Amino acid sequence: MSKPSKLECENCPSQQKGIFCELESLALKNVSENKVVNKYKKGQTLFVQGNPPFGMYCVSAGNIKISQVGEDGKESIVRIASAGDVLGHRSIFTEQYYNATATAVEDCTVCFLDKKYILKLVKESPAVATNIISKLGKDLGAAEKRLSSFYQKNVRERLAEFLLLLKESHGVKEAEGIRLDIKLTREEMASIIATAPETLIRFMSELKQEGFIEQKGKTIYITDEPGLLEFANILY
Amino acid sequence: MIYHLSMVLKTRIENLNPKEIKKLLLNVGSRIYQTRSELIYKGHIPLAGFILIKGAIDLMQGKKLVGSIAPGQLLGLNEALHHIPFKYQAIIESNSEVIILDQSTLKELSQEIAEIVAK
Repeated sequence: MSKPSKLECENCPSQQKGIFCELESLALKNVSENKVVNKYKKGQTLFVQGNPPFGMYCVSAGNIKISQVGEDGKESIVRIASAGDVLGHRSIFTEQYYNATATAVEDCTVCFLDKKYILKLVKESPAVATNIISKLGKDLGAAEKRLSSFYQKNVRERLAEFLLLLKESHGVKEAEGIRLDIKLTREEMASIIATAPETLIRFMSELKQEGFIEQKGKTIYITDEPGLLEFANILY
Repeated sequence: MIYHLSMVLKTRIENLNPKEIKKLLLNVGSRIYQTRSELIYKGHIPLAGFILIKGAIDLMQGKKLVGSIAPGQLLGLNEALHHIPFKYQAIIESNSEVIILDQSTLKELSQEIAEIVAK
């Protein structure tokens, strides 16, 4: 089997969004030399809940769902990671086993750096350390926001809020509105907002009737963002 | 030369005596895979080399079992070290214990071997 062409960090499509963006060219080259790049097909797992971590994943392209399976065997999606996001960074510092499973929701390109190398990099480059702390802080903030959303918002509002979050991370401006450049099944979307797929479908229809969103095949467009913001009960 | 070194490294690791394995376990540590899962996908560059301590790793070609890794054997070292895509799907059984030789550790070991060979 032939060697695949190597993805250099300097040419990575998500470089400006990643944790290594402040590194100088020489240091970036060193990161490139120490990473392993793999392409994951839709449905393949990067890591599995309960298994041991030994490094950090950096998403170059594609979307990855992070899900947890409860004691009842039910899967709940915690978040969607996309280009520029890092995964497994928390476990580097905690020694805990993975508490979630990461699965490619579409074909993805993902880089991997082992723990020993990351720890060395953190010691040598304060910018990388700061960016990892910043990522951890943002993750915590998003988790707290999601938790409060579950307590304070109803399913309608949570759905509208989720679509607005997808707009921030995957929105592409087009003539018809803002296209959400991510393909999630109804089951996956329902899992993210903690509801049943039937309920999600009902509220999606409601949003369409109100003119907040449009759907073409499986693609969702946000057509009235201010309306959706009001619907989501977001005051800022 | 590099390939030769990885063969020496592989032979060296596979012939570790119990005392050396104990030392390696103290330095690198072993991990238990609690869930049956894909350790290496076909066509992927392994993220590390693995020494199986306990349990089993199956090598699959599609749905066909083409081989198994037994305790004491090494998996993916050459491919991880030289970034070569793996030929099979490696599936680790639940509760299997492995020593994970990540890229940094492999490079350190290769360096040590290279220095010994050079002497």
